[in-house]
Amino acid sequence: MGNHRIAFVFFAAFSFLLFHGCSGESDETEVDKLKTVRFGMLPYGDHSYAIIGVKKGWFNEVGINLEYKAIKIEEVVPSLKNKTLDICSTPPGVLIPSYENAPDLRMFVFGDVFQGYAILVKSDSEYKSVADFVNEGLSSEEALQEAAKQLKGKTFTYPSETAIQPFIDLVLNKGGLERADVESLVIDDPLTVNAMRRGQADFQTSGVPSRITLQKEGFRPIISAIDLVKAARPSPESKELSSVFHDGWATSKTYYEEEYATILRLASVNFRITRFMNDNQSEAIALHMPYLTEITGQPFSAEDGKIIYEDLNPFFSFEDQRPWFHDDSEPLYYKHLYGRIIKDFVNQGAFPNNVPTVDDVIFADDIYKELERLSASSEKKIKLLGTKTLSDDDKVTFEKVKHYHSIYNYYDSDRLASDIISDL
Amino acid sequence: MKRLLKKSASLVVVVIIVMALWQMLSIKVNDTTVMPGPVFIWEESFPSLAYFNGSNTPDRTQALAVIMSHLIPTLLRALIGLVFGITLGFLYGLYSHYYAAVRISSIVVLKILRNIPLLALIPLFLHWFGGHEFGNYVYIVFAVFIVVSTNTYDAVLNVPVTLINLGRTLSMRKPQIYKSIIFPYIIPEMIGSLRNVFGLIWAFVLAAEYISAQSGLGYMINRSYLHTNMGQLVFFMLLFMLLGMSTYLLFNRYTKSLTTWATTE
Repeated sequence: MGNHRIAFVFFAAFSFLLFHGCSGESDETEVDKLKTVRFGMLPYGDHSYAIIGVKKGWFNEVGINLEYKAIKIEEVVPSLKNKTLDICSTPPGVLIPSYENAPDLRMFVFGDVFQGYAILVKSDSEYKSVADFVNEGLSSEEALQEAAKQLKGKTFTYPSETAIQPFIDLVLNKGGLERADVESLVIDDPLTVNAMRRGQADFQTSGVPSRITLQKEGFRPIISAIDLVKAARPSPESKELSSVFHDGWATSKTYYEEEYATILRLASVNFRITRFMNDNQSEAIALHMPYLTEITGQPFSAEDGKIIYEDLNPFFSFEDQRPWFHDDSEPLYYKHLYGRIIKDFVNQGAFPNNVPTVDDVIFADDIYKELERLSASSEKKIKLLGTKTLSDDDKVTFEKVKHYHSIYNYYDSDRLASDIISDL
Repeated sequence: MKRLLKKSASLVVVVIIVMALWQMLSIKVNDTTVMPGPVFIWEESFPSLAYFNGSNTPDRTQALAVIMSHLIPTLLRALIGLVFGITLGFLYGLYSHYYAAVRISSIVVLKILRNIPLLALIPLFLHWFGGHEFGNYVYIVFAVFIVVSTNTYDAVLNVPVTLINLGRTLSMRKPQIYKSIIFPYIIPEMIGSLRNVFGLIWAFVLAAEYISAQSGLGYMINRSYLHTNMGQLVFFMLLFMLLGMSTYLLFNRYTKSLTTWATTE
């Protein structure tokens, strides 16, 4: 009897392992008509906004069942490369330096501009901010130089992650300094917080979670990404562009080509969400912050949400993103910004063999322009269909066409409009 | 019963003294971001775990529910790691002596692979399995397997040759030698080895969850670390201490009877 019991337990454990390790996270019988997309988001305010679309049902509305989960930054490249995930929300600073080992990965849509990097100091320290120097009568550029010079010979703590290195070099550069001119304390992002708390470092920079933690404890920024980007020129040679970047969603080239319609639909939901975040900020925050609290285990209030949306990474609607893809006199034009980012990574030695071009890593311009083309095409068809007498079925479809057009789902709007026209 | 009560009372007194000293130290340091005391842990850090439930306010009941919901996957990973890792490790260690072909492979497994630091394998597993849950299980089973197979191999190697020769003299065949001589002889050493494994399992599970899991105590620790929440981190340290102690006591209780015949100092 004892042997049977042991055998049963063994079998049950093995079966569970087989099931648990291999099964997906959703009940596919309920959503088998929807296209399942496995989506990873980083546990930060600028990468978890897709939850707004999930809670509003917008992904389902365009035929997507989003299987989402919060992942760590180290998981982005392996998960996309191994196809454990189809899409990840990520900063470009994670994808681009991995180009040689993972050349298949691309950003296909943007949501916000990350401008959350800052140099922080103790609140009662003697160090002055850019604003302080400006108030003393200096110009913005001079104020920036003087603020950065304060780092000379002092202990500066920062993490080793690649995304932040261009910002660090830019700040030092502004003060006429190099890394050798400061006492670098390179440690994990969260440990930089403790270094500041214990007075082991004079200056600190790292990601937004650490910045929010320190600012809540009274530490203050003396130089921020916003101070730097104000002086940016519309050129990849403009070093100031190193202080900011777009956050967005990335996928593999294979997935992009095989699931192009899904990519367009995902992009449409992204734009619907960012428009909502601007037009209905309180409601967006009320949907977003509880999820951010849940995946971080830290309280994010409505006020924190406001800071994230307005100061640290403002979100841009479809219309507001137009200059990024059309206006090369705009510093944040995608070729200037990513040209700069790639240059920074070249300087760091990230590409010993193969330097990518902007178009190798960014497909967001293609998607944006395709959506514009589809928008114009469906608008034309909507105007035409408005003058025609439609059958009852076609009337229902026509309402769908107009609705999809209003929510940036230009792909389905144009497709369905074409179907109606072909019936006429 | 009297002895048990006396023992429990001593334990309670020790715990109270330690807590009191800790609280006094935290008051001296006067910075909960550096040294949170037990009172701070109970009043602030423990209830704050409710945020993992999406709660707006700290709450002990919700915090307890959150801990239980994440403890279950941690326990499951530990259990599966132990069952499969110990079984495979034990069999491999044993058969390394039994079959020549397995012995040859043990050069790679037991002499080379065992020297790779298990923590160094985490990024490799992350890239191989891309954060898939299956990768977590494979890592934990592998970690346990390496420890158990190595210890089993060494335990069998330590069986005095005279005893084995005695068995041969008595015309015992190989399976009988294993059953009557080797197994009984290696049990005390294996018990000691398994006691280590039962302690190490929490480190293996924590390492796997820390890097690439969607649930579990290691996942929560990673999030607390990301936001430098010292109170939560200390709480998890205490929780793992309790888990480790419980495992140790349970293991001792149920394996004591297997080695009553062995001399102890």
